[in-house]
Formats: sequence, C-alpha cells, structure tokens
Amino acid sequence: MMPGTRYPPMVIWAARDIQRHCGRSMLLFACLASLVFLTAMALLFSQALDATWERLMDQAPDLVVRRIDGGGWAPLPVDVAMACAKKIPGVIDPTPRLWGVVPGPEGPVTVVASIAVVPESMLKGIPPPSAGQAVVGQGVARALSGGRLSLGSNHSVTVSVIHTFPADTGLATHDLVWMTPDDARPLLGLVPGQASDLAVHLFRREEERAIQADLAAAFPWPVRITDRSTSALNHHTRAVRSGGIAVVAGIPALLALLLIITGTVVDNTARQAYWGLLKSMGWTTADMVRLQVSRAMIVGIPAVVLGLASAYAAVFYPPAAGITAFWVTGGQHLPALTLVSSGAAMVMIEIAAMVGLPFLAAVFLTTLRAADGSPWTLLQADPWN
Amino acid sequence: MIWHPLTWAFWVAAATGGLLYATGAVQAVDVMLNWTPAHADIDQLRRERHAESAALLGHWALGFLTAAALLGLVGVALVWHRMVPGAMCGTGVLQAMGTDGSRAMIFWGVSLLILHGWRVLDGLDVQRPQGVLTRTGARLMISAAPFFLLAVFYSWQALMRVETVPTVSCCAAVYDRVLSGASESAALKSLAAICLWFSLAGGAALLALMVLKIRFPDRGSGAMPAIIAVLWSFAATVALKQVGSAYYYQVLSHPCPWCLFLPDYYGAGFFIFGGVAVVVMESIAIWLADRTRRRYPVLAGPAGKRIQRSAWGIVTAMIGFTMLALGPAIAWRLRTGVWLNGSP
Amino acid sequence: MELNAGLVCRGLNFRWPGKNADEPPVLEAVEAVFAQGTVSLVTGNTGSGKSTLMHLLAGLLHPTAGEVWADGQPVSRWPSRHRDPWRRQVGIVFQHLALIPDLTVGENLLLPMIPRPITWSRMQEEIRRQLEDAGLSALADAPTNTLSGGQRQRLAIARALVARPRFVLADEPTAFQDDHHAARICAQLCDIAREGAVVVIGSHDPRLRSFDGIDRRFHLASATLTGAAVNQGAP
Repeated sequence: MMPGTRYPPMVIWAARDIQRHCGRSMLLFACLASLVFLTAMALLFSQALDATWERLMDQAPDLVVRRIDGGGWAPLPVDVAMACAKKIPGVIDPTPRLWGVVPGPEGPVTVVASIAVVPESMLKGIPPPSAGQAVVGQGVARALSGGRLSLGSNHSVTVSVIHTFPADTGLATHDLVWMTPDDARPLLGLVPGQASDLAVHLFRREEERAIQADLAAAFPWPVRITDRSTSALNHHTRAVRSGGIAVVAGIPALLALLLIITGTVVDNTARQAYWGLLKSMGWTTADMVRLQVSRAMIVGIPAVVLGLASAYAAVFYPPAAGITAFWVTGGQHLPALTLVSSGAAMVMIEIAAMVGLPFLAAVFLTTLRAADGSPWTLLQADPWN
Repeated sequence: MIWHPLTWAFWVAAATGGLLYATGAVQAVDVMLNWTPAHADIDQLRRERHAESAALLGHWALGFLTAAALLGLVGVALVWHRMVPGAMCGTGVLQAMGTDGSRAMIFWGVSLLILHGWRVLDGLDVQRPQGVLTRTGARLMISAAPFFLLAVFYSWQALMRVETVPTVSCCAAVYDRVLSGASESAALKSLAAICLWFSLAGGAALLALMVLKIRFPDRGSGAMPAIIAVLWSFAATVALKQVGSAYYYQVLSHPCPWCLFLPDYYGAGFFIFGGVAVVVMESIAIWLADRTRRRYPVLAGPAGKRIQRSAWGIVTAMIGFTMLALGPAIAWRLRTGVWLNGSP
Repeated sequence: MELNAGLVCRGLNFRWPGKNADEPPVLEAVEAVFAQGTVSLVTGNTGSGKSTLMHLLAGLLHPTAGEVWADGQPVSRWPSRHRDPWRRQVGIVFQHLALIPDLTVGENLLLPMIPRPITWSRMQEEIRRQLEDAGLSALADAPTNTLSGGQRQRLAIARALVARPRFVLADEPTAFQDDHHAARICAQLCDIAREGAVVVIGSHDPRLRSFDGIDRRFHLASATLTGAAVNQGAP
C-alpha cells in the first residue's frame, strides 16, 4: 500500500501511470530532452554571442572617424584630425589609432599598434610589447614556428611573440597581433604623424547620432563615421540571426516528431476502456486532462531540465563548445562565451513557448480526442466485453 | 526581426492557441445553432459533448493566447527595440511597426477581453446543470474569431514591417512632441490635469462601489462600475503617462509609457498596466455576472459570488496600481518638499 | 410520483440507437421509485434489460424517452459535464467487473477516490476499511489478475462502495460467490442502505430472491418493470 502523503492524489496517480507505461514514457522523455537540447543549444549560443559582443562593445569608442578618398580608406593626419575633433562640443578624449589588416603566415591578421584599439579588459595584465616583440591572439598563435612571426609581403617584419591574448577574449582578439607603432608603421604603410583612424568618446553617449553631422563637417576631408550603436545593432542582429536560423532549420521536423510521439503515447485506443471506466466512477473529461497534463509535466520537466543542462554544457564547456560553435556558426572559430541572467531567462521563456506550449497542446488535444465520448461507448472498447 | 527567436516563440504560441481556439469555435458553432436542452436525441447528446469540449478548448486557448500576447508585449517592451535602428524602448518598436503595431495590440486586447467575458459566463454556466448560458457562451466565444483573425493579420504586418524599417527617432519624438509648441504643450498640460483628477475621483468612486458590491453583491447596477472602470482606465493611463511616469524617470517632458517596462525602472510598467488590465477585466466580469443574475434567477447565487470575487480583484488591483503609480511621486514630494515641476 | 425520493424512473424508454422503430424497445414506460435507505432487487431473465436499466440509472446511457431523477434532480437530462461529476455519488458494480488487471487490489480501490477533494491519508483509510469489509486485507498489494473470480467480484463491490456513494447499483454482484460470501455481500449492501444509500441490485441469482434484507422486488420482462414493496418498515 502506498504511504500516506500530502501530495495531490492526481499527481501521485500520474506518476503511477508513468510507471505502468514505462517504455512509452522513456520514449517521450528522450524525444523531449533532445528537442529541448537542440533548441536551447542554438538559443543559448545566440544569447551568449550577443552578451559577449555587448560586453566588448560597451568598451568600444562611441564614434570612430576614418578618412576616405577616391581609393577607399586614406591615412589620417593626426594633428589636424585631433584639432578638428576637439572643436566639437561634447567630444572628449579623441585618440588616434594605428591598425590595419596585413598578410600573415596563414591568411590575413589584424595588426594593432595603439592600445586604444584593444579594450583594457582584454589585456588582463599583459605587458605591452617592446620593439621586435608582439602579443598575438589564439588563432595566430597556432600558426607560429619557433615563437617568431613574419608578417607583410612588400615590407616584411618579423617579431618574437611574448604573449597570447586570453582565450575568453577570442571573439575580439582571435586574429590580433599587437606590436609597437614603429614595427607596425611599415606594415600598415603609415608614416609618423599619420593614424588609421580616430576614436572619439562623447560626454553623453545618447548624443552619438546628433554629433556625427557636426563632426563630419569639422574635418577638411571626407570622412566616414561609425557609431557604437550601429556596430552593436549589427552584432546583435548577427547573433540573433545565428540562433534563429539554427532553430528554424531544425524545429519543424523535431516538433512534428514530438507531436507524433505525444499522440502515440497519450492516444492509445486500448486505453479508451480505461477512460470509460474512470468516467463511470465520476471522473470528468477535465479530470482526465488534468491527469494527462500531470503525467506530461512529470516526464516533461526533468526532460526540459536535462535538455537545458546539456545545452548549457554544449555551449560553455569545451570541447563540446567547439563543436557547437562549428555547428551553429558554420565553421567559425571558437569564442569563449559569456551568458547574462536576463539572456538566460529569455532563453527559458523562448523554450517554454516553442517546445512547452506545443507539447502541452498535443497532450491536451490527444487526451480530449480519446476521452471525449460517452462513458458507455468508451467502455465498449475494452477487452472485458 | 523575422529571425529573432522571440518572434518565433510568439508565433508558435499564437498558432497553438489559435489551433485550440479554432477547434473549440468549430464545436461551439453546432452548440450555438442547435442547442436544445430539453431533448435527449443523439444529436443533442453530441452537442453536449461538443459544448464540454468547446469549454475545455476555450479555456486552454485563452491561456495560450494570453501567453502569446504577453510574449508579444515582452518583445515590444523589452526585446525587439534592440533590432530596430534608433529604438530605445517600445515607442521605437511601435514607430517602426507603424499603425499596424497599434492595431495589432488593440485587436489582441479585444480578443482576449471577449474570451475573458466568455470565461466568466462559462464559469457561471457550469455552476448549474440547466445550461441556461451554454448557447450565449458559445455565441460569445465565436464572436472573438474576427478580432483574433485581425490581431494575427496586423501582428504579421507589423512584424514584417519592422524587418525593413529605417532608423526611428524613438523617445526623441516624445521629447520633440512635448517641446515643439507652447500651445500644444499647454493643451497637454490641461488634459493631463483633467485626467489626473478624473483618475483620482474615478478611482475613489470605483473603490466605494466595489466595497458596496462586496457587501451587497445582489444590489445596484453592474453596468455602472464597468463604465466607470473603462473611463478610469483611459484617464489613469493618460495621467500616469503625463504625470506619474516623470517620477520614475526623474525628468520632466518624457511622457513615454514604454520606458516604464524597461529593467532600468524595474519593469514597473508590467505591474502598473497589469493593474489597469485587471480592473477593466474584472469590471466586465461584474457587468456580465450582474446581467446573468437579473436574467437567470437560477444562477443568482453563483453570480453574486462572482461579483464579490471580481470586486475583491478590482480593490486589490487598484491598491497595487495606486501604490506603484503615486508612490514614487509621494516619495519625491516627501524627500524634496516640492513636486517635480517645482510647485510646492 | 414523488421525484425527490431517492432514485426515480419516470416513463423511462430505451431503444438501442440505430435499431428499427418497429423492433421492440429494451425498456418501455418504466416507472419505479428506488427509495433512500432501501435495497431493491430487479430480477429478470438473461437479456431482459437489467444491465441496461442499471446503466441508465447510473447515467452511463441516455434514455430515449422519460427521465431518471436523483434526489429530486433530473440527472438524465443533465449535460455530460454535470452528469459525469454527479456519478461520484454512484457506486456501480459491473457485471463484467471492469477491474484493471495490472493494478494492485489497493490501487483499483483508489481509482474512484482520486478526483474527489479528500486527502491522501483519508483515501488510504477508506481503502483499508473497505478491504477489511471485503475480506481482502491480505491481498492489498496483490495484482488483480492473480485473484480468483470470487475475490475479484468482491473487489469490484469494494470499489463501488469505497467512496461511500449515495446510490449503489450492483449488477449480478453474487454471480461468482459461494453461499457464505453471497450472504455477506447482501448484508454489506443492506448496511449501506441502512446508512441512507439507495441500493439497486440487478440479478437472476435465486439466493437473492429469498434474501430477507430486500425491501422491494421488481421483475423485468418484455421491457416492462413490475414490482412491489416487501419490507414496509424500511426508513
């Protein structure tokens, strides 16, 4: 005899019902857990990518000014640019930056020579390189031979690598090479007094759009100004789209599978007599729906938890994280991602809506279809007749 | 926008709720057209089963569609503005959606309100076996269909429009509107003052009526509280937007209701406007229960209990609303000795 | 006819759906009062319609004409969402027993209790009491499919009585019992009736015809129910 407890009898009976049909319940559990795993993995990855980008973008300058001419980007005369920028009210701390893309041993790398390009949080106590030295990202470090790195084609420069950027900054530093301005200038084709662009911070971040026009008018040559919000929007769109596409690609088929399996598990015609018997004893259709929903919750909640936990591990714990990044992004390098609590909550809500609601609806509809008959008719389906 | 997972979540919830609603509405059609409670023929027995299924489906559909509407609200208020260039809150998202966004919200609201009314009638009908409200309930349930279809249509239009939207000016538009002309500003100020005083007076009247309804549920009109509640909800919303919100933002001239939903203001908008929604919904429940009480004496008892329950709901919601809407203003006044606009 | 006196049939007709109108009905113009606190026996040959009458009284079948009233309410006219929960007041013993074979004896008794607003411990108490009355205490954890025919029938009766129903409808409740157990079941049903329930037994068991606890006897033949009171001292 079952011991006396305070748990609602319906839930206890639902658990006993699951035990009676263990195989079907396991099938449902596995199907639901896989579905949640695949959905949550894509969503968590997208959220984490977004959060990581947002963290990095938060440290980026509000505006970046680049000089352009008929041939594209042109070097920026530092003194003139600084003087022009400082004239605009609201602009603080304009900083010339030296950086550019140059050929590396295994494809192009991004060379930076001014600390302003790299957010401080990424440096994490790394000492700045001296002449002939460099700090490189994880992607560049893999291609090194004997701790030395040769860059450039016309003007080749060889430097010794003294450090690599931490793995958790990989999203921004993967292909980065940080060296002294004197080493970088020949590679970037810049003479002293010239910079690649001008990073500008504003007194009020909200004014970034308003100040752009004044700033552009202040320079004696055509410039292109990029604001932080536009970059953030682009990154956010990319991150969201990566998750959305992965979800959309896999969900319909899996959802169909879930509906079929739920239907198979719940709507068993052999159980019609059972429903009829329950009705003859005073159960209502609503009671039966409650019983089936309790069953679904007992199987579903652990399945969702398992799916979410597996997805979390797949996104944040290497080496699974690498495979996930490859699957979701289509082969991009592995960044070390972070997740914020609001992002995690949003993933939970999305999973609940995309998997939980159709699952519950399937349970409800199949139960209703099976139990919505007169008790006498349902009783006739049984083997005791 | 089309790729945003929350957009998919919204559509999945809306589609699932729509499927449940459509299934229930189809069964309700048979009940509405042919319900004959005095007969026991096979068709009537089938109709009885249909009525039971339709009721269950309606309850589930209401739950799912409410979830979809809340997902949409979360999207507009908290999430989608990050996908819209220039948007900082729901104002920017609605700007990007054009009139379709506002229409979608209105039709979602009307659909849910009708289904809530149906839920009230069904809750009363189930109390007695005579089934006197079964046909009316079926009719009300089906009458939500055109509004729901329009809600879905305008939601689709609005979300597709966001996909290709140029930069919006969001709260800058709110500032501009306030600061643009002295005459408009003066008109706004007087409207705000009227709405503020009406919301205070209407709120007090509604509270008094609710206390009476709790004590004497079978006396007085049910229409009066509903009319006052609907008018109060408009006035309270305008007063909150024009006056109360300033104490959250701690700046004047930023009458944006959507910023209240942002985490910066602890998502207060969800609770404040949730309170207004509860007042409107429960006042409609009182109206329907009162009508039922008058027309069907057999349901007078359950209807009286429903009126009392709704009255308690309104009192609770109004206390919550008042605390959240006026609390920051009173706190400011106590701390600084003046109101935000400088008046003592 | 007093309609609020227990379970009342008023002009009850029943014809199986789909049968020709010129075929004889299963039940025709049945008028009967199964009063509160009494045990009524309905006898009749096999196929005479006893089980159908039981199912009509339990609200499992709908009469094609006429009504079944319970405690002054026309329950046969109620829509299913009211008739289904009303059945919580009915304990029915099926002729075919309708036990769930893979459940234990105790679990079979639990089934009618689950949707009722009573605590789990109270359910356990009721089950224990009912198992003792049925002489099945030692078999509480045994699967139903290991029981003998007589034990299963006693279990079916225990399941009908476990929730203390207002109306007990027993279809051939002594078919698989020896004389001792048949008498015990009759006594058990009489006890329930004395506590205020309406007990209707449908049977062609000759042992029941002679049982002195029966208050009213009815006979069903040619779709017509005839009967008379036996024990006038019934409450």
